[in-house]
Parts: sequence; C-alpha cells; structure tokens
Amino acid sequence: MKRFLRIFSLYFQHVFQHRARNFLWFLIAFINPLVLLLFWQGVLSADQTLHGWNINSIRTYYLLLIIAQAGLMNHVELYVAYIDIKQGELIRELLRPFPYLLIRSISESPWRILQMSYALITVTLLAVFLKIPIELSNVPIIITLSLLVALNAFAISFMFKMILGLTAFWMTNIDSILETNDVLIFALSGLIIPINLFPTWMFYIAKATPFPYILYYPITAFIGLYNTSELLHIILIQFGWILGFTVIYKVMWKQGLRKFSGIGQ
Amino acid sequence: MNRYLKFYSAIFKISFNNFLAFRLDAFLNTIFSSGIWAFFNVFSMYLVTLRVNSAFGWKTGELLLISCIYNIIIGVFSTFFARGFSQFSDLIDRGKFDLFLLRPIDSQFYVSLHTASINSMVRTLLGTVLAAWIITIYKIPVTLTGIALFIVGALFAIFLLYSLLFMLNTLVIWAPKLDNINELFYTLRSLGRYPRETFRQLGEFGFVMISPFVLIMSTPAKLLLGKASLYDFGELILLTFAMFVLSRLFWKFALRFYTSASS
Repeated sequence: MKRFLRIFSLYFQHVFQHRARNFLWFLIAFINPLVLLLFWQGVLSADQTLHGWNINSIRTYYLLLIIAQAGLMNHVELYVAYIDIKQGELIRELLRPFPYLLIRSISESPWRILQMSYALITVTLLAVFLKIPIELSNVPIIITLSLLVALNAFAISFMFKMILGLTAFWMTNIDSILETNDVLIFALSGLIIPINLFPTWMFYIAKATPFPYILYYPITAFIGLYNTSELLHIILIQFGWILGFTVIYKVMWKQGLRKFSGIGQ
Repeated sequence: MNRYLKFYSAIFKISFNNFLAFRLDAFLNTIFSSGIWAFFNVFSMYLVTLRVNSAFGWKTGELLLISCIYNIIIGVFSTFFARGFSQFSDLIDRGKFDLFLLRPIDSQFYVSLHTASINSMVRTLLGTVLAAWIITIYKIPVTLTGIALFIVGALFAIFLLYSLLFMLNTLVIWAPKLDNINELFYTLRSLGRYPRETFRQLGEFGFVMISPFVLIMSTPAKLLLGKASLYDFGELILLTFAMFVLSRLFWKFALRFYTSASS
C-alpha cells in the first residue's frame, strides 16, 4: 500500500508541476457547460417546465456537469495510445512489477483530483455570482448510492478509455477513432442536454451505450431524480458495463502485446 | 508582395502533395474527422433547440444556419491557418523556431502559413451543403446581396479569428509548455454558434471579452439574413483591423523574449 501511495505522490507532483496546463484543460471542459447554462437560463422562463426540468434543476444539472466532467471523464487513452504504444514507453511499464492497469489508474487519478478541485471552486463561485440555488437530494441513502454511481462512472470511463487506447496496437493512426469517440461522448453522455430531452429514438440509443452512465446518471442521481430501486438498477447496469469492458480489456491486452514491437508501432 | 504570393503557392502545393501522398489516411482519417465534426456542430445545435422555437430573437432555423456558417468559416480558417499553429509550442519549446527567424521572410507570415490543411476544405464544403439544406427546409429568405455581403463579412471574420489565435499563441513564447492553448482557442471560437445576447448574463466585462468570438459568426450570419445594421458591419471591420494591428505589435514585443532552446 505504501508503495502505491508513493507512486501516487510522484504522479501527483508531476501533475502539479504542470498545473497551468492542467488548468487550461479544465477551462476547455468548463466552457461548454457554462455556455449551455447561460443559453437555457435565457431561454427558459421561471415557471416553465420541460420534461420535468425547470430553470433551477437545469442550472444545477450544468453546474454538476462541470464537476462530473472534470472528475469522472478520463483522458487516459491519449497517453496509452500515443506515448506508451506509439513511442514505445510501454516497455518501461512492462518491466515494472505492477499491473499496467493499476499504474495507469494511479497516473490518471491526480489529473482528475486537481481538475475536480478547480471545478468545485469554480462552481461555488458561479453559484454565488449567478445566484444559482443548487438543488441536490438530501436523503442519506440516495446520497450514498449516488456516490457509488459516481465511482462506477469513473471506472466505466477509465476502462472504456483504456480499451480505446489499446486499439493503437493494431492501427497506425487512431485519430479518427478518437475523434469519433469524442463526438459520441458529446452526443450521448448528456454533455449537450439531459438525455431525457432527446428525441425518443435517440434517448433509447443513448441508454444502450455506456456514455450516459459516465455523466448523465451520476449527475441526475445527485439531483435526486431516482428512488432507491431505480438507483440500484442503474448501479447494476454500470457493473455490467465494467465487467464487459474488463473482459474486453484483458483480451485486447493479451493479443495486443503480441503485436507490440517496442517502437515504430 | 509577389514574392510572398509565390512562396505561399509553393507551400500550398507541397501541402496538397503531402495530402495526396497518404490517400487512404487522408480519406479515412482526416476527411472523416472533419466531416463528423461539421455534422455534429449542426446536430448539437438541433438538440439544444429541439424543445424551443426561438432563443434571444433568433429562430431555430437561423440558429442552425449559424452552426452551418460556423463550419464554413472554420473550414476556410483551418485550411490556411490552424495547422501552422498546431505545433507552435513545440517549435518554441525545442528551439526549432530559430529556423523561422533566420529565413529572409516575415516571421509572422511564415509561422502562420508554413503549412496548409487541405482536408479542412471538406468542412467548408459540408457546411455549405448543410446551410443550403437548412435554408430550404426552414424557408429562410436569402438574397444574392446577402450572400455577397456574407462573403465579405466572412473574410473579415477569418482575419479576426486569425488575429485572436495569433495573439493567444504568442503567449507560448513565455510559457512553451502550454501545448493545449489552441484547444482552448477552439473551444472559445465555438461560442460563436450561440447568439451574442446569451453572454450578456456574464456582466459587462465578460460580455466584452467574449464578444470578438461571437461576432465572428453572428455578424456574417446577420449579413446573410439581411439583419445586419451598418453598426454591426462597422464593428466587425474595426475590430478586425484593431486586433490584427494589436497581434502584430504583440508579436514584435514577444519576440524580444524568445531565447531559443534555453527558453
């Protein structure tokens, strides 16, 4: 345990050394929800309701989206694909007495922690500055289960992005895969609007993918849109995605290592 | 001037040959990703406006048209300027920028235009097709004068966009590790897809800071729709000239602080 804490601390120092760069990444992710918040604030009147969303709940949604995006949405695939596989840095990781998955999860965590702290400060300032009353559930069991939904969301995002990164074993150029993934995440995870405001056909497509389980469900869980049994159902589906991705990851890792040639991938 | 034109036409030819050298990659990767983003920008605005008929005085069809115009302008902009800046922080960080300074050509011209992104033309093309489709579907009245004014406005918008990108990149001379500064710019420029009035809620200071990015898309859109006043057009022209001069002065000032590989 002490060894892992030491490794975490080293990665944290590395991330903290690049805190300005990290802050820019946070700003990049922060602008989109902010603009949408301003847009809806201007469009929805105080007494208007859209599919269960009123002006306060939708503002809370976008504020929580800023935090969720910073804390739950991983970007580990870039490091795995471009640095580890393409540049051959994976050799160094293979020689270490730790599982690769564990090392990458430890290396990604400081980024999320630092970005989440930026997000928490910014959201607090925004809520005060724009006078937004944040509406969250205050039922202990709902809060506890929502935390579990958020933890699972991080795991889904991490495993999915690891798989995405591993595709670099087989492909010379994975730019278009990553671009397509960005578009899918944008469209289906709830980054644009809550997915229950989608057209019906698109809502069902989104629900069949892992993306809303990374952002939409954790956010709406904290807002208190679900009762205990609905939350348990969401958690069960999340476990299913984590399990599925773990199996795919293991197969890809095993097959991919056979393709790995050190450098010049 | 003639020398610069000849030089740029050579750069463009080289970029085009590079593009054709890896045809499969060009078609599968670059064109696909340009196309998917072009489509997605319009589709995301469709999702946002799905439950409302109008926002800040703009009808749904007009908001979708702004997203198409965004693709047209960004496509042209990216073809000429964007790729030149994609590795700017690396040039500064590793001292490779020396080569740009040593050549007998203006450094701003060379660093801005040393490579072209041919695949970005797809975005302009797709944006134009989508704009024509939106105009037809929503029966938006567009005149030939409107189109001519739009082209002039779009050219100014592209130069304004360039000046802003150039100023932001100039900061890298002091902070070479900020390799994601262009990503921030790309996010900021996407603000142009929303009506300018959206940002009034940010207070006077926030509104003024965001305005250049919003003008880039909203003024050409207003010109196309015949909604622009002389003030709107004048504002865009003046701001473009002011920002271009400012970017030039800032560049000259920043170059004093460039210390090659040890910077």
